[in-house]
Amino acid sequence: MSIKENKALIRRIYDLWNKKELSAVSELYTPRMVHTNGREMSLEQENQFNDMFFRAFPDAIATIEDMVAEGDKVAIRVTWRGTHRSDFSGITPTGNKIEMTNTAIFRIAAGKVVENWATTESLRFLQQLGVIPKQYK
Amino acid sequence: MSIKENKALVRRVVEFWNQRNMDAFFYILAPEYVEHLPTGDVSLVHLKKYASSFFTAFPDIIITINDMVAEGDKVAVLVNWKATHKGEYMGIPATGKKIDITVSMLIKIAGGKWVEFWNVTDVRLMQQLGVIPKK
Repeated sequence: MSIKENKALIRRIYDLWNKKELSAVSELYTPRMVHTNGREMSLEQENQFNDMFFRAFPDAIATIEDMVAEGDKVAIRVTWRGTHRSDFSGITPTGNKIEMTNTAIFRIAAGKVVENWATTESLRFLQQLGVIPKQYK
Repeated sequence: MSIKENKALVRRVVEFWNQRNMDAFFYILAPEYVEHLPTGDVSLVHLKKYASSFFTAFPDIIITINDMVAEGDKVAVLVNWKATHKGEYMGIPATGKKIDITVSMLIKIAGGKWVEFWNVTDVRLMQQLGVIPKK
């Protein structure tokens, strides 16, 4: 696949995430391994996390801010925005608006994502949920 | 510049950081250089002040490049930081703790200089410094 096709695939996956069409995502997003913040997760663990995230932030929308593609990889910078409506990792719903930046490098083979290295910026995110004092910046 | 040259420039800057050769690093930055951090934008003037306090906070930091993806005038880079927290950082007094985290960077290059930089530091930094729980 060309880098143009690889970028189109990533755009399509985020579009489906924004529409909460998670079963359609699962056709295109099939990583054998997800490296989140240097930790390895199976696809099953990531799906469980995503289910919890979308329950906690039912209106969560991702905006792709930047995309860089080379060979079989696509790197992206994304802003997530949403409202905290139900329990998230033990944090009871605050009704707060959140905004956070995530980055990821996806490896693509035969029209599907087969590996993902994700970095999540959660300081500001957890400050918005009131878990970390705002003094840290 | 080709994507090969842009990647080589990123590798050189990471070497400068590891050598604490800040003059060489600042030489690579265009006058209009901006760092877009989650906490806000940092200009070149502010960076020059902030950079030395960063290396005071983590004097033994070693930055290793894990992956690079380049296209056009941009390079996305995944790095690892290994360091000991020996000075105040983001309002957190020195803890003496070891950190081992992932940081992702996106760099825009023009005419052989860095012009823009975006950075995401993984949540484990704050966990390893004891600011937030490990869960």
